[in-house]
Amino acid sequence: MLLAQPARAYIDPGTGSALFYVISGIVVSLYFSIRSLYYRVVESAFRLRYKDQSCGIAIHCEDPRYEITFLPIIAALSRRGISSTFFTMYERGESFEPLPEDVVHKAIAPGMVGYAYLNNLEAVLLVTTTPQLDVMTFRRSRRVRHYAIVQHAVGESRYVRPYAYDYFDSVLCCGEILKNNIRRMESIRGSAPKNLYETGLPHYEALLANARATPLPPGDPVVLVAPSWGPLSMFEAFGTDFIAGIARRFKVIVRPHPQMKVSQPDLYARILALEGVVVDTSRTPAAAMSQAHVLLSDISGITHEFAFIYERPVVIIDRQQTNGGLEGELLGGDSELKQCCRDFIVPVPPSEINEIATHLERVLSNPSAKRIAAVRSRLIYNFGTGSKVAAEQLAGIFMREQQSVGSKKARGLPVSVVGEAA
Amino acid sequence: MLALLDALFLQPLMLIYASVFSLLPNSLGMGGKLIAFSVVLNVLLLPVYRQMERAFQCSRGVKERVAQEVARMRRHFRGRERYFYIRAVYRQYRYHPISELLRSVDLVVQILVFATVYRYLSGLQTLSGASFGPIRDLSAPDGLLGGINVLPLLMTAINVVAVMTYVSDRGKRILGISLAAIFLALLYNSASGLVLYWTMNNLFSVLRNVVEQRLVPRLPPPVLQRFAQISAQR
Repeated sequence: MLLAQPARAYIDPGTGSALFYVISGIVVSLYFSIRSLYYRVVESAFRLRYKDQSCGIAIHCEDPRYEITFLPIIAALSRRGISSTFFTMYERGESFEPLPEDVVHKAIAPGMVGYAYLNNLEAVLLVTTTPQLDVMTFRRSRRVRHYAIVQHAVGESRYVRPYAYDYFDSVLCCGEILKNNIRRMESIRGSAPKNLYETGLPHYEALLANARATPLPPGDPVVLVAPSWGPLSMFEAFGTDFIAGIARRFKVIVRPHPQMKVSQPDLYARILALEGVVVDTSRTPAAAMSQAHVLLSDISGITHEFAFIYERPVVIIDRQQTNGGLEGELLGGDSELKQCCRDFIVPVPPSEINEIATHLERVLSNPSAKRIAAVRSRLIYNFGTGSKVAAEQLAGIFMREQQSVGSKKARGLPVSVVGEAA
Repeated sequence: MLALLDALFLQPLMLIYASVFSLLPNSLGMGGKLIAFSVVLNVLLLPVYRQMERAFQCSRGVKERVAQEVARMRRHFRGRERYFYIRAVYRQYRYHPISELLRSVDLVVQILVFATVYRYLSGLQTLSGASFGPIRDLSAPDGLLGGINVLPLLMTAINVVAVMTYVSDRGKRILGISLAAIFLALLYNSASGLVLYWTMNNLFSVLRNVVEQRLVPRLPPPVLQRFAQISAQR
């Protein structure tokens, strides 16, 4: 008793802090209860409407740009005799690639309404590329046994928003760095280990096929300038004048980010008006990438695709990214991916923007294809066969979950359809 | 309903207080009996408070980690996004703000003891006309310093000293001093017997802190070890 911590007994100033906690507890509880009630009411409004959905494998695609990830997986599953239901949060017009005959397509509303639909889905397995399950996007349905996420870009669980992967049962990892970082996050948060599969990137197959079909045309070196949009975009930071300096030495293709048209229309107009360069605004960057010898970008996801698919170098303006609130803040340190790739995705400090043409020249004079291939094999699982591997892994999960249901039913046990690993 | 609650919870406590008070020797005088009453009650309640303190310490680590993560989310996110991330933090630590209330049984006990003792002493007829040292009537405010009540000021001074000595966090210091001021306002015109009892309570609390924080750490290691064993057994 003599070793007790400072006493809080009696209604004295020490107790004041306890009293304060109690009062703040009541206030915060009330706030959370009311807000939670609001979301529950909204969610319940949709529940009744969507109570009859049921399928084996549900594949959720939030945006048309992720179809390149899912279509090869769906096709590979179909070849294995496993049908799936393809839920898209957009209408698939006639311009879209046809789905295999055994695949059912259902277009659901975008945003909250679509998420409410998914919240009440009945399925054995749901596959998505949308992170933050059960946190920000849709919630785990009590009638879906297993949730899996597939990667649609090279990632390392660093520049993703909080709890990106925490409530999935399985993550089909693109590479070793992501896998290690997810394990580290599990350790930091003390959460149960998820199933982490060595999968790769299913969408790389289509990109690779396209790259092989359109080899680099002969002629002078071409620089593709394709930055991101928003406050971190190099156009936002440096304007568009530096393009003229590059165009004096190289052929230049400028590809403004499509979102810039919506979010930064003035800047977008200035880019369209640039003289002495080709401005590419086509739907995909594939044509522009196939013609370019080197890519100049900033933090855009296009950098890894250009390097790994086309085996050509990239120069990035190395503006320090803040990890504020992102998972990288908990992981600490610098981007492992950046460190591994700095030999061919060459960072240049923003202060040297006026010498950017010299940097591009130096990078071009140092052939990098072999080095890229070597690093790629370390960083990305199953390069070029990711969709087949993903389909095999998903088929395995599906079979196991089905067997589990069957075995429980045979033993007369109640079948809980809530995922067990979460 | 209130009568039932009164019969179930308050009357038994009143009976205990009356028994304790009647067991104290009359030779102490009314003031001495009040001081002894305070000491006896505090000693009897020590194991209860100790157990509650232990439970509080166990939950403190989790609470601190939750507070840290919630602060991080507040720093970086706004609106709907912030709400959902904070909810995820609570989920991660299996924490809910309402649990603050559930963990605060000790506070309920303290408030109950305070309220019931207040009620018991307020209704104590024997205080009327009883003197203690310079205090002429323990059932009235002391008015010792030309009509100014000294005991409530003394009680407040003890509280402020305790806060300044044992609370290092600026926010908690302000909170502690504010609470001392509230008690001063509440008890300033109360019966001096009641304030005497309460001043002794606070003094007891301060002395206990002195023993735990200043004296115990200076004990030789074997003695400390032995105390730790005894403490663990309890």
